[in-house]
Amino acid sequence: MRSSTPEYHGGHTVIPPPPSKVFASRLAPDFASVRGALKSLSAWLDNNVCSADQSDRIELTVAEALNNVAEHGGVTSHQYITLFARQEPSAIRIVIRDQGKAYPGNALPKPKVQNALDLPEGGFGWMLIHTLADEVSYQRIEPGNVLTILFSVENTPDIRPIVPANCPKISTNRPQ
Amino acid sequence: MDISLSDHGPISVLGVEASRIDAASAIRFKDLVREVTPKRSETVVLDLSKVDFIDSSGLGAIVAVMKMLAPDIRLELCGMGATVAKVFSLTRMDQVFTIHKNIADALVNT
Repeated sequence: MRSSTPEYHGGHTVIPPPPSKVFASRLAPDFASVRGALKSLSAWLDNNVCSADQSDRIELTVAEALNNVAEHGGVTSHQYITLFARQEPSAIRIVIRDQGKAYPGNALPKPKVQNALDLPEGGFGWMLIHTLADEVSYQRIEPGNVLTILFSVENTPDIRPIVPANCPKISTNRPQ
Repeated sequence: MDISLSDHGPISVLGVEASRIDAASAIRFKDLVREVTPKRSETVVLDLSKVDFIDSSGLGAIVAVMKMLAPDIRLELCGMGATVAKVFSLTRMDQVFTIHKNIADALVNT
């Protein structure tokens, strides 16, 4: 017969892994497809992944990154761009892959410094990406490009660490 | 995307009837403003209250429209939501445009 006390598993508590939420989209390299992918990403972000402010920040950054690939990436019409997003314990990770030409100098473009009074009509993309994201990195992995963008998000809902009610506090003070 | 026109004598209020001004709609936006703006206008107030997303291409299109209307017609903006306003402040374009809270303010202050 089953005892009402929990079974002893040794000196550790089994904590279930946090739920993982991912988003993936494959899109053609044109602006209308970019808009479609952004709408889906935005719906995914709004669906309990992060706050509306965070969602807007991520949507704009990804818009700039995807528009860059569609406009300058040299991705042909029979190739695709892939957009991945993953909810992590305190971040949203975005990965954009394309099979276009390598970025100039095989490096992440730096933000362009512009004077608003010169009335520039473009060239804001990388400045916005660098300003809005917490981490941006670029890798050329033949035959394509991988752009990874990380957004710090305070304890995303659903994915807060689970601490059992009777969990003993662990002292971090070392004995002298 | 559509653009509505409400005529207030020398001031024309152009309402952007779309939730986005982005890379996919930037060219249509510029063409529509050119078509809709009455030639005798002195000031065009662009009402952005229905726009909840703008990217750098959309921002560039608004700058292009300002240059296209100048020097005879001044372009001013109104009705920006927080998300749109943020793009203007990050790019410092908020220093370039006269920005009103809403249409009523724009009509009083232009």
